[in-house]
Amino acid sequence: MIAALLCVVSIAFLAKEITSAGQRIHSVGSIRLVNFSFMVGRNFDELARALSGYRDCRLSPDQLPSGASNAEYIEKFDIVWSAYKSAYRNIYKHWSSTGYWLDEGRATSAARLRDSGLAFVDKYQADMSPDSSIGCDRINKMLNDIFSQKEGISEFAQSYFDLDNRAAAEQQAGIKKLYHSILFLAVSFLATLMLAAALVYKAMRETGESYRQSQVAGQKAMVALRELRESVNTSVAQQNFFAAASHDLRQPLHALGLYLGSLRRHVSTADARHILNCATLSTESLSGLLDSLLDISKLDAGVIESNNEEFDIHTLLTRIHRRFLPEAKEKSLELICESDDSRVFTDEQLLDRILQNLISNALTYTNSGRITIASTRVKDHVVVTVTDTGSGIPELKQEAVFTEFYQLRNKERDRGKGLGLGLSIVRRLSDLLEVELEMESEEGKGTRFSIRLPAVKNFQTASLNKREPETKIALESSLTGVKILVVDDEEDIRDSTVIVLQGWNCTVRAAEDIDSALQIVSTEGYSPDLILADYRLREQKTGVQAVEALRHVIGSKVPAIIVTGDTSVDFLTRASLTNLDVLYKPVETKDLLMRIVRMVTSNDPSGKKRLQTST
Amino acid sequence: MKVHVSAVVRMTTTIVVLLCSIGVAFAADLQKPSGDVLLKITGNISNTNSAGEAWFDIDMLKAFGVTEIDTQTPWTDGSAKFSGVLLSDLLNAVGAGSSGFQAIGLNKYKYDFRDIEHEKYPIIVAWQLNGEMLTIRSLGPLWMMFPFSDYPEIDDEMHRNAAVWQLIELSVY
Repeated sequence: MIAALLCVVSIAFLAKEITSAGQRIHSVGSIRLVNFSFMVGRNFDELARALSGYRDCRLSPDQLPSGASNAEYIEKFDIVWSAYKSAYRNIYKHWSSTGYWLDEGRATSAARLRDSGLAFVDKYQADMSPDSSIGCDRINKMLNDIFSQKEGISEFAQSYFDLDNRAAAEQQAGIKKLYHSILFLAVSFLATLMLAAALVYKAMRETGESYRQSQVAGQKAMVALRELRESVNTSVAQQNFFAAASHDLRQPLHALGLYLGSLRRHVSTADARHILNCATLSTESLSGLLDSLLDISKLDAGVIESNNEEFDIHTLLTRIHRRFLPEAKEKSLELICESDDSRVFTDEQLLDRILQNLISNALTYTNSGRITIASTRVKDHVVVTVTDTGSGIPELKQEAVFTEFYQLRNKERDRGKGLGLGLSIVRRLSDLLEVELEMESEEGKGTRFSIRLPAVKNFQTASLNKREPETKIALESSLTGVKILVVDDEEDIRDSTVIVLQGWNCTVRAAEDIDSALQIVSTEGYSPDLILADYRLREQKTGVQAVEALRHVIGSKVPAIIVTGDTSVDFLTRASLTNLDVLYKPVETKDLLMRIVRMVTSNDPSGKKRLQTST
Repeated sequence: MKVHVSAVVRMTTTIVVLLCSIGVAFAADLQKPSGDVLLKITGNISNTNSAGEAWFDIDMLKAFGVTEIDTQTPWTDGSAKFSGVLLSDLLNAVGAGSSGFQAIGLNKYKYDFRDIEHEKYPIIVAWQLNGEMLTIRSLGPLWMMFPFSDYPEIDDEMHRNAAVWQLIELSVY
């Protein structure tokens, strides 16, 4: 834009210059100076021709037409005379008035030319009388003077030609400059235009590009959205699968556990007892896998709360040690428990779950050497460690092992090694307990997990757990005569449950669906102290509906426990909303006992949602 | 046959005579100069008196009637009174085929009158300045003169250039 402005200014300036140059040319040309000079020169020529003709006639008098030639050269002389005496005066005046193009030297030479011309006409005027006779010598002299006059005129005219040419050249140069300026202006204008056009084009193309990119992004977003939706669907499907699978698997497992539990009372020999214990153990390990899934499911659902309490770490570690000893022996591994007598403040069951996962992991990945479970008091904390001499975890994969379904060195997906959920459960649980979990591992040498727990300062070594069997017996006896209504559509489970409950001297009635349960209540007048209902009943009915219907008929808020294999978030949320106690399959007899005792001795029908333990 | 030929010849002769008499009748309006020829009008003209040209001596010019111009010129001192014949009268008299012509001077100077609107002004071909007959020395014997003082718009370089002195010929285009 600035260039264009400069161009306009320079064009204006140049136009002015050209106009002035043109004026000079016009002045020079218009005053007839050059024409006049040539004219006078021509007049001199004609005079000279007339004179020389007259002279030639004089030299050959025979041919002389008397008087005629005389008149001719006199006329020519008169023309020259008039040029100097009349016209020149005016022209010189004009030169002087327009002196800007006439420099001093030229003015002087013009004046000299005029003066010499005037001198010429004055000099020969006397010879121009028609009566006078002019001699040859005089004619020759006159001719010489004419030539010199003509030379002067030529020089003078030439100088004006030069001036003219110079002015013309100036004008030409000006025009050329103007042309260049206009050209430059045009070019710069064009360039600006093209630049603008290019910019517009680029902008449009960029717009197009961004439009295209936005389309691509949109498509990507659509794909991502679809993938997300699919992944959501996948995760939902996965959860549904877990829920369904754990439910279906738990049903027989649940029954087996109940059968084994009731069988224990009828076994008397040591061998039989051993076999029974092994059977129970396998059932437990089987349910352990399910528990893993259940744990993850529930942890993700966020329905598990930590219930911190004081307890003896030694007792817990010993119990765990005892639990894993058979498996360790089987793999010819040393399982060492080195615990101090510290008391800790945390959720015992959740910690149990953490340690159980860590130890079962250690057993899986250790083929020789030992596994050490230890607790050490460090100031205000108790550090519980699980150390193995196993294969260790490569540094690069140390973070990955905490993710779900990640397993090292199990490409065959041997289910005997679990599902790969262990450490991710551990991570989630330690996060829930708000305890520090550290892992040190060196490939080929082993792994050490450390859990830093808050210690209780004034601890007592009293162990309540040692009295556990006695408590259990006491609890069993407290259920004598308690009326329990069992609602379950699966005959196996219904029967085994009835057997267990009857073993505790409960008065049990069982129904396969809501209608028959209602019939028992309404026709037989059976008023249960507790309802134990399976969640999934026939015909899309639920245990919750059964409980509600029964409570409605009985007319009081009878304590109720819902037993379910369903671990879906949906159900858990609903159960907590309807204020019912929930037990997850497989339910161990001990847990069932404790729960029933708590329910019937307490007026609060709502139990806490607790993590199912397999101990 | 013979009769026919003589008839054709006679008829042709009659036509030629008639045409000649018409030409003579037109030419008769422009008499031949008796004195020195001061001005020749040549070119595209219909009235001639000498070999396709119209020649004028001083008496013929004066016969058109005298027109005077009082004006100042660069070539004269003070106010000058020029006497002469109107240019338009001259051009009418010779039946000029166009208004464009070239004025030629004794000194071979030429000016093309197509450059100016000469019909608009009472331009004269002057033969007298301040009561004196013009001579070659006083830029005569004829001088194309413009009324510069009466028409300031023509008092410029271009019209001064058109004021051809020592005028001897008008060549009509």
